[in-house]
Amino acid sequence: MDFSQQLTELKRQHKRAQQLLFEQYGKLMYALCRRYLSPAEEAEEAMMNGFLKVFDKVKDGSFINEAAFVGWMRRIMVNECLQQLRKTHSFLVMTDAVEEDKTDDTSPEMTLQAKELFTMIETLPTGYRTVFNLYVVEGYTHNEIAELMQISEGASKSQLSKARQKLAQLWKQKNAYYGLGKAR
Amino acid sequence: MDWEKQDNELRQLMDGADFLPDEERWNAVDGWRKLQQKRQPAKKGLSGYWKQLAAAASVVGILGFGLWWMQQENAVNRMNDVVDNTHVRNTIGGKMEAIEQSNVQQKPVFSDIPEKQSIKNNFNKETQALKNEVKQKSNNNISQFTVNSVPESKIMHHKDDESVAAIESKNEMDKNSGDAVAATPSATDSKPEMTSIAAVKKPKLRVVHYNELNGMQATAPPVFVLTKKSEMEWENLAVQNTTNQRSQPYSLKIDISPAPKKSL
Repeated sequence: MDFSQQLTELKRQHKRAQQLLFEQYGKLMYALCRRYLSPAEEAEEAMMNGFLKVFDKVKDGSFINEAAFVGWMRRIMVNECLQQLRKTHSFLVMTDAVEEDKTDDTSPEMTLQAKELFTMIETLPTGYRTVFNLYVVEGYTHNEIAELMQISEGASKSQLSKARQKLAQLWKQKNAYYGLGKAR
Repeated sequence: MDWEKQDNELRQLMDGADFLPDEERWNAVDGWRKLQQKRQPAKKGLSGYWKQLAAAASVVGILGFGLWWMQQENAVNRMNDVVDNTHVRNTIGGKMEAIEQSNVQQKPVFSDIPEKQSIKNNFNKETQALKNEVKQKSNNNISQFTVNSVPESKIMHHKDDESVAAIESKNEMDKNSGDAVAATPSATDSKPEMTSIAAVKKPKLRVVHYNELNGMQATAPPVFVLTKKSEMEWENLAVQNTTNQRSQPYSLKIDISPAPKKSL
């Protein structure tokens, strides 16, 4: 089934097309939600709500291609995750004491595997993690992040900076633990 | 430091990445099942609504049945009260003395209960005789019955297997006073109560308990008296009841007063 046909059936609320979409993108969307939300149950809940919204609103949307459709789904999932975070966390209280990295050599040279990065992102405090994900992974601007998280633009930049420092710190610790050093 | 370059690298790295923590596994089938369950609450709520409605209807039905039953009980009790009151007023008021003064031979209810079959035979014979007599009278001349005519009645009554009692009474009315002067109780069948009253003119029935005549309190179970109004027409009258099955045994006497005198 090609994308246009699938989209048509999705717009007609065909259950089979919905199941196919879920099987295609379920894991990707769950991984996305899992980057924002730490307990697996919360991430799953957000993903379910996101898919229900996708099934409900797909009839109103017009998508040029599959990439646009997937981008739209990702935004829905991100919004669901932020809603979930708002219930349990306050983005205003996000100051986690991060030791200043005097050397400031945060990783132009860092060559990370995606999974390693995912593991490190998961250990970040909620605020840092959210801003980092939104800015670096999803490509939102600070202005958009400020609106989404209902914080100031400066706070968004600050959170991003601290998130980077924390990641560099984590990276150093990891390499030191394995005795690998910086170069990899 | 070229943050933009680094961010782009990271973005490319994470783009399309669907990896999960090591301990987590993605199961699309299970996920889809959960999604369907999440979709269902509206339907679940609907079925729950119907269940609640059915439960409420059951409760209301039970309450309604209870109320109906209570109403029926009250209706029966009211009728019993009416029967008791009128019967007490009619009998005890003026008749008691006359009855007590009369030389009525009252047979104890439980004494000498004859064999069932013989009672039945006797009863049948007497009933048949009464019927014949009534038929004959009604065929002959109605006008010969006057106010002072003596209708005949027969009544059978029982309370339970042990206390089978019946009164076969041919009320002998004092033609001058119109009061009941005699009644001859006798033991009879344990079949349900059955009464045949032969009267050409519509008589008035009064039910008298012998126990009550003797000053004892007793209530009898409902008795339905059939009164023949004409050849083809019978009237059914409920005349007695009981409230306590274990109460004193009783006997009945039917006192039939003549209808008001009419000039024919």
